This record gives sequence, structure tokens and C-alpha cells, in this order.
Amino acid sequence: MKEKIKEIFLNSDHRFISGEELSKRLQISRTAIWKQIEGLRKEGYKFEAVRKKGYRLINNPDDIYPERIKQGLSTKWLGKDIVYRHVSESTQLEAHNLARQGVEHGTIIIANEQTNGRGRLGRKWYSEKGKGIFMSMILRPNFDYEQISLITLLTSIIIFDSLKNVYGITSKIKWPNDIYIDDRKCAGILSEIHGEQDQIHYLIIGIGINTHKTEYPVEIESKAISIEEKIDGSPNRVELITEILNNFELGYERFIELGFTAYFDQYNNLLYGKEKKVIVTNFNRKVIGLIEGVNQNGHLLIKKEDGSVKEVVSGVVEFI
Amino acid sequence: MFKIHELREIIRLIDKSNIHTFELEHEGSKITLKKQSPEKILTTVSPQPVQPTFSQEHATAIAQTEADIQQQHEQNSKPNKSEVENKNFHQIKSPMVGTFYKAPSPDSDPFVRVGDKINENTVVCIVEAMKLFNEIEAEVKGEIMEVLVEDGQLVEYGQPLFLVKVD
Repeated sequence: MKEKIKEIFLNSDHRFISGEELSKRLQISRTAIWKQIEGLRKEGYKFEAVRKKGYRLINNPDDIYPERIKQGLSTKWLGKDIVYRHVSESTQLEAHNLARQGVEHGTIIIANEQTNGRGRLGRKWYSEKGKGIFMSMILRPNFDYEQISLITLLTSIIIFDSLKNVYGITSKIKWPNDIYIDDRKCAGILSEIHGEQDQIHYLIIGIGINTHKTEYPVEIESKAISIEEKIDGSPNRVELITEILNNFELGYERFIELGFTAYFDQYNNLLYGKEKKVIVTNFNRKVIGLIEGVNQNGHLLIKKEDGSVKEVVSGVVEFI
Repeated sequence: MFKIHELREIIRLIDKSNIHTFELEHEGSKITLKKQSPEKILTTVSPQPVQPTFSQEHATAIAQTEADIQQQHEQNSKPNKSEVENKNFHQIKSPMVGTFYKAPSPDSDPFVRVGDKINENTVVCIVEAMKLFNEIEAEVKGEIMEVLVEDGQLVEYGQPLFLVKVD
């Protein structure tokens, strides 16, 4: 019932709908309508109520309601189910719970705000209300472990393409999958699999994108950038989300068919800091050298001073 | 030409089957797999698969894999004391190449310690590559007898990570 009411309002073109009309259309009492509207308010939908005129959904073009995202989707399986939270502790955490409950491949969870947005290894992702895209995709891939880590690289290419298509922004990818604009980070990806030795139960790809201008906390102030800083006007999150989902489904299917080979050249062309000197740290191991590119496995190749090339599977890349 | 993941898949399937000798010729490449005893498939991949038709990169990758297999073979063929003791323990192995993490974050307690009782769904560690974090489930019910790798160690595909005494 709540879903039906939501649909009516989202298609109402911002006009008032009387309680009487709703009660007739849905065959429920006006008290029941009121209860449903209160329920929607708790979910974060804003309604204006005026005597004798009825209710009106306060519409902000940037509100990321699932119905709006779905209108722009051309996907077969991605985003068929979208869970929206006005406030989530972490979409990644909620995605794990949903995946364990058995939700379908392609289910999306998205939040307008996160109170404890997650980055790698317990780090935080800055997730201010309305200032970014905080989204997790639940996938149930049936390819093997060797290929699956390359999907993190694929996702960064998808975000690059989407930023280019929607805003004309040319970004770069810092290995393995951070999106950089003007030497600052605009988007990050956190991918997590849950599985056994030869069977993947589910994969969750979390995407965080800084969309709107804001005052970042001191520790990331000089390292973060938002889309709004690079465009005229204000970015529309719905538009970017639908573009990412549409591109991701196509990319994922192409990746299954052709593998990373199909993206190898593009990824290397987009790689941030090529030929630059870096230190790659992974626990107590450090590699210093120049970034050469990635190999077919997506591993970073670092050319050391002695001319040898070191292949890096994981680690944090810092420019020096 | 065969891709590494295809070879792995074949090995995996043969491993699970009762087949002792397996030969496959495809587009000029040939692979022969022989099992000396049903439990020892990983140690007996013949060097046949490397054919001149392989690209340099594949050849290197395979050489690398073979080196790993060789190493395992050596380990397996040298029965030392702990191996004899470990014979009946279940090994939880790494499903991929990556970094081993014993805890979800640097400040957290490890997922499991020696002596911990675990069940099939207990997450025992994370293996990470290219910022893909893989939470690995135990798959068996029992007790952790030994943690075979260090926090932060690079692990190979199929490398044993834990020994579990199965209930």
C-alpha cells in the first residue's frame, strides 16, 4: 500500500492530491492514508499538507528516490530492486545483511546520508547528507576468483565513463580503483566478497562519490574534490546513478564474455601518475619506483631503480 | 590456447572426479593431467601444457604456477614431523592470490585464534587483492589448530592458511 501511495505522489507532478481522492483510488480509509503518509515521512519523504487541498510531495530534483532512478534505467537485472535509506549507518553493512537474507543479484542499496560510511579496513568514508552518492550493489557472480578481483578495476572504468558522459569531466584512475580529478579524489570503491574456497556467495561493490560542494574534514580537505567544483550548476545525483547502473550492467556482461583483456588498454590509458615515482606500502613491505602500468592480471607494475620490475597485488600507493 | 583460469577449472574438475589420466588437445595446445593417487592431483600436473603457441605472458604465468606447484610437491614429498601430525587436519586454503588479513581492521581482534571453535559459516580471515576484500568462511565445523600464515603475508592461490581439527 505504501508503495502504491509513493508511486502516485512521485508521478503527481508536484500537485496536491486530496485524501478523498487517495482513499477512493486505493479503497482504504482516510485515516489509513494518513498513517501511510506518516510512514513515508519517517522514511525521509517530505510532504506538505494543506486543508481542503490535500497532500503534496515536496520535490527536489536531486532526491534519489528509487522510482526516479528506475525511470532512467535500461538494465535487465541491475537495480530492479532498489532499497533507499534516508539515513543509513553504512550501505555496505546493510548490503551484507540483505545479501545474507538472499536478495536477488543486482539489488542496490542507496542512502542520502551515512552515519558510519566505510572505507577499506575500517576506515571512514565521509558521507554528509545530500552531498554524495553512497551506494552498494549486491551481485552473485558465477565466474571464478581469479577474474573477480579485476571487477574492481572495471568498476572504476565505469565511473570514469559515467562522469565523462554526464558531465564531460575527464578523470583518472589511481590504482587500483580511486577516481581522481585534478590530483584529488572524487570517488572510491570498496569491494567485498563472501565465500568459500571455490564458491562465491556474493560480491558487494560499494561506491562513494563526492557530488556536491561541502567543507570536508581537515584530514581530507586537500585531498578531496566534488563534481560540483568542476561543473556549472549543481550535479543531479539521479542522473549520475542511472548512468552508472546502465553502464555497469553492460560492462559487467562484456567483462564476463571477454574478460579484462577488453578493458586492458583503456585502463592503462586512464591510469593516474604513470611514470611518476611512488612508494607502495603493504604491511611492512615497501616498493619504491616508477609506475609503469598494470599487467593483464590488473597488478601494478613498478619499475625500480635497478631497472627490475616489481608486480604489486595489493598495497597503498603514495606519490613521492 | 588455454587460459590459466581454464586450466585451474579443469584441474579442479579432474580433482573431484575419479579420472586418473586426462588429455586434452585444443587449437595446437595439449595438456596432460595424471593423478598418481586420488588425493594428490595438485602435485602431478605434467609440464606438457606449455606449448610454443602460448604467448610470453601466459607462459610466464604458467611457469609461475608450475613453480608453485613444484614447491607444493616438494613440501608434500618431504613428510616431516608436523606433516604427519597434520595429516588428519582439514586445511582452509586461499582461493586467490593476495594479502592475508587476520582481522577486519588494524585495531580489531583477529577473526579467529588457535583453539577457537568454528563452524561452516565462521569468517576466518580476509584475503585482499586490488582492494577486493574476500571474507573467507571455514566451510567446516571444528577447532582451529594452527594459523599457517602471518598477518599481512602474501599468499598464493591454494595456499593452506589454517589447520582445522574437524568435529
